[in-house]
Amino acid sequence: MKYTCLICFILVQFCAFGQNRFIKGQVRINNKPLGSANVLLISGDSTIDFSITDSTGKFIIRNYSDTIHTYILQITHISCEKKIIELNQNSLSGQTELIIAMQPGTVPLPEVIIESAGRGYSQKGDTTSFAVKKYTDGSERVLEDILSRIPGIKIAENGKISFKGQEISRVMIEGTDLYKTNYRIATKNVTGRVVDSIEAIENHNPNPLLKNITKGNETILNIKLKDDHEGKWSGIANMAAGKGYDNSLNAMLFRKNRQFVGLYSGNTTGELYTDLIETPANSILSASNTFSVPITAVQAPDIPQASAAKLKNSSHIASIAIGGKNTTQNSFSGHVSFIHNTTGQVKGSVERYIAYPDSIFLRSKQTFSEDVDILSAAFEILNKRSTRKNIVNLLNASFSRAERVNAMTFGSTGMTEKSNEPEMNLAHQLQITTRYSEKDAFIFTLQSQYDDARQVYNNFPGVYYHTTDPASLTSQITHESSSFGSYLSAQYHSRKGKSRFMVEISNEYVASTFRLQPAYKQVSQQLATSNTSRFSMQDEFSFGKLSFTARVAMNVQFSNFYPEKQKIFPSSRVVLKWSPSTANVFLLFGGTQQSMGEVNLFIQKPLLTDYRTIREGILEPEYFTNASGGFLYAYNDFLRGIDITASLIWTGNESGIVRRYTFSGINSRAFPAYGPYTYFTSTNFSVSKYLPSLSLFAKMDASYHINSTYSGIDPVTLSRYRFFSSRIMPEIRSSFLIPFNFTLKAIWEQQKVLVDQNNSSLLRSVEWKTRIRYAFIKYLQLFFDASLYKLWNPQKSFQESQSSFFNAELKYNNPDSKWQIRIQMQNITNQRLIPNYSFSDILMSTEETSVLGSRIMAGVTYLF
Amino acid sequence: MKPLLLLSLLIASGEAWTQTLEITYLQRVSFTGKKTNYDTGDLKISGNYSLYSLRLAPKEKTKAENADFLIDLSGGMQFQSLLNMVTDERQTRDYVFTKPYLIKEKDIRLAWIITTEKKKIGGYLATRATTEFRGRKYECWFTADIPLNTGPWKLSGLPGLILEANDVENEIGFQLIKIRTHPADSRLEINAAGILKTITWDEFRTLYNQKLISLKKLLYAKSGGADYETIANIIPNTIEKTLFQ
Repeated sequence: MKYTCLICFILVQFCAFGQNRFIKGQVRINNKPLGSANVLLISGDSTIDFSITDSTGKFIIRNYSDTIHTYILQITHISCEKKIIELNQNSLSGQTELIIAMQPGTVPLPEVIIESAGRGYSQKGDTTSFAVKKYTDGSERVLEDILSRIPGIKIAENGKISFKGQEISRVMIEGTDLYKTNYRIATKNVTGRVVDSIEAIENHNPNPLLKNITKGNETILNIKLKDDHEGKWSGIANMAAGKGYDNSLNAMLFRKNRQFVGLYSGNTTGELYTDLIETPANSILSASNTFSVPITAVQAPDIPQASAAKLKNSSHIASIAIGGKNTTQNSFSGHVSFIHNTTGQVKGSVERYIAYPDSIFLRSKQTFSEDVDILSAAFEILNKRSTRKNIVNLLNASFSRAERVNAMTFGSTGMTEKSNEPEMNLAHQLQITTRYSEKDAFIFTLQSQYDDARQVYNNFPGVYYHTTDPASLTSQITHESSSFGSYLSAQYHSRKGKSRFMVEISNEYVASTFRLQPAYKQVSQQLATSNTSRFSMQDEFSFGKLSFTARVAMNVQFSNFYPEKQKIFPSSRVVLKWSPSTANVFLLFGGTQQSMGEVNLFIQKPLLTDYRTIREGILEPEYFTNASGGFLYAYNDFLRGIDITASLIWTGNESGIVRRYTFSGINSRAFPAYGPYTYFTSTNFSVSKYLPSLSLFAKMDASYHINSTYSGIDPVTLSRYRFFSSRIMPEIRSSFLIPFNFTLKAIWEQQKVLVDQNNSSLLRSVEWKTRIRYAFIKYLQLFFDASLYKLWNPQKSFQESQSSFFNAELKYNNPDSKWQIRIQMQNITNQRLIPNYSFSDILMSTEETSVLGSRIMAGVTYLF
Repeated sequence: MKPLLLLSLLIASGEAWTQTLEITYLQRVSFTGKKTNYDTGDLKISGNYSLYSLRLAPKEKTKAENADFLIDLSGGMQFQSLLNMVTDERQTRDYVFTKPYLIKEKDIRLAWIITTEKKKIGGYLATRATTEFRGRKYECWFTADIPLNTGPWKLSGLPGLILEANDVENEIGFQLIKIRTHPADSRLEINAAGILKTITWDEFRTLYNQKLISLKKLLYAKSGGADYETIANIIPNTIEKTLFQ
């Protein structure tokens, strides 16, 4: 009986739910059925269900619940007034039938034009493609003008381009690398109207054999041209004159097998062309293993100067770039450029002659890469006429060969500078990559470097310790150094599923000899050697746009040169990166810990002495511990123009000399010594926000150093040994250093269309464009030092610079015409102010003012 | 007589609603590994009819114009789709590779799920709705302020005009550029509809797949010993994934 009741109860429930609940009816107008009317059943903000009337005006709505007490039935049609019917539990009987009469009427339809319709970009893997027409208005002249409007791309004042915060390494045009690292020649001069789209390729790996195994660290841009410009000459001719001149001519022709770009630019607007050349790096060894002679103790103070002299102001560049295929297999690309510059010079000029040719010999396509030979070179001559003697020759040549699963690259870089401070640098690199399978690759790298340099330091107004000869105060010191270094590394890369694994063994060896030659002929020579071995492992997991990288390394370093000694220390780093299409979010943690304990015997001969020879020996067992850790958070949302970086780095040092024995001549002493202990914490926070008309960039770096030292002997020990020598002094010292940097940059840009003759599509307009830029940078450093002898020695120093830039352009822009007319007013002021003083009444100040001035120019631009 | 009837049907008179409307969309197609194509699509609405015409980007036209001896038999490879919003009948000018056909379809109402998410597009309040159509999942934003049951391409059947649409794989996208209430040309006409062969969707699929197989065979014959399995597995990129049998 109990079960029968239960079954009956369930059946009743099913019957209740199984009832055919609906609202149906007919929509009519003027007693005729109205088709294509929308009937919506709404509760609150939610549309519960809807129906569209058929040709007989009938509709039916089924999906509604009796738990909701009130519904709204909304009926709309494009030619009727909207009708709303309230339905409640009483009017909803389960099978509701309605006849709805509509009144004729019109629906207000405002016309809409969405300027930014379309995202304008798409992302596929590591490639983000931007449709240029979505971001430009036709008034852009050169490629840089277009790039500056693409979200995520930022152009620094020196023309260097970065995408999503990472500096790009090259800009290719239709996949052809005409300008190599000197891409700024192209971006500042090549006409922009031929550009169809821009591809930004992240994680690009220059080694094709590592594709799909490792992520490269290069970001490159590829400029895609409009198809209708293929095989036609296009370019830009610009002439502007008034107080000064700004002229340019660019012509380019792109065909499938031949590419040509020729350009000339000359100006007196202060824009430099010498900086467009990115000299290839000629140092391959890590900075930690290169030595410098310890003459920092004789830092010359700034000498007060009068206001800067009037500077010259003209800059010219001429460049030809050619690319093409002479057969279906072989291709070539490169450019030859000449730059003449006097801008910023008091006298004379600077010339640069550069050539970057490349030849590619493609033999066939293989499993993982192309079977190809590439011959690359770079030549550069820098001639500074201001001093006539300074000539720099730079040569870079490389040959690479990829065959089936093996690739080899051999490159040499050489540089010589002939002047009164000559310099020579030679570096070679051999890299062999072997790809075992689709998932594994091995890379062997061998590098060697030879450096030779001479530097001359004149007229020291300071005091060099260890020197008692007053003559040295105004003497000349010549510093000569030559060094040899080698670097050997073996890497194994593997990819399995979402994991990329790398293990590396490397060794770096540097030997340096340097000589100091003071004016009074005494020569001091030292030999320093260093060897660093490293074993590191890295694994990266990628889950879509989220990646997690962990790296651990063990470093072993041996050196005979103070302060580098034997060190064995681990280091680790963990990076969490989330990289959706519009943003980059980083979380980085890292740390290192170094420790050292050893017994050292120094027979120290001071580098500079007077004619008396002082020989001093020190035997000291000492220990050294260093630990550091850091946290970095970076958020970059390039579509919204938000860039935030915050970091916190902590460093602690503790070192001590357990007991020091010194002997000089016949005396020897032993005393305990402690310290110093150094703790260093730095924080960094920067935020920038870019709005359509106003860009604000504010950056603040603040850090504090606390350095406490106790060394020498303690008072009890001192009382026992006080008779030995007055030279042994206990010292207690504490210092605090608080550097504070503040940067504010604001750019206000306004563009107003004064006459708009055709609102519907392209604009024929007269534009008024103003651009005001103001930059203010201030560095403030507070230093408090307390020691046993100088009880309180607070110092502060600051330097600041500010620059303002005003530019107003009145421009007639007609996209139907190839002519642009503009009147330009400009005022540029750069001021750098460096007062530098201490509380001990030593006041020194250096002031440099460079006013580039005001000018009015009128010009025409012809686009073809 | 038959062509005349067809023409009279295609040139809609707009009895119920005399006003005309032209909505322009940006159509984005970015298949994996391919260049992203941005084209413009015009949706003209008059009476009970709406006509979506794809305007290929100018570069495509320029190529054709530049060729001295090119005789354009395809009508500019123009995709067009005419919808009767009352009867839900759709006629589409589409291509089996380069040959145009007129495809007639009936009762193609999509099953929409309307969500509570809302956003403003061009001043209109739009509501998010999702559906699945021929192998792709779409999310669309429609506005009930314009009570027309149509939208770009073949997306329709919501209680308001579709202003924006994207497939979840982000390969296909339609975005509103402008709405004009008094377009210069208000005729709704499929190009050369009278001379096109009229077929059903199933016939179109069959023809497409037959042509695809013959093209693969041609490719295999020309490849000089390529793996046939590799060629046989090639599936062209199309908006309608269920086109392939």
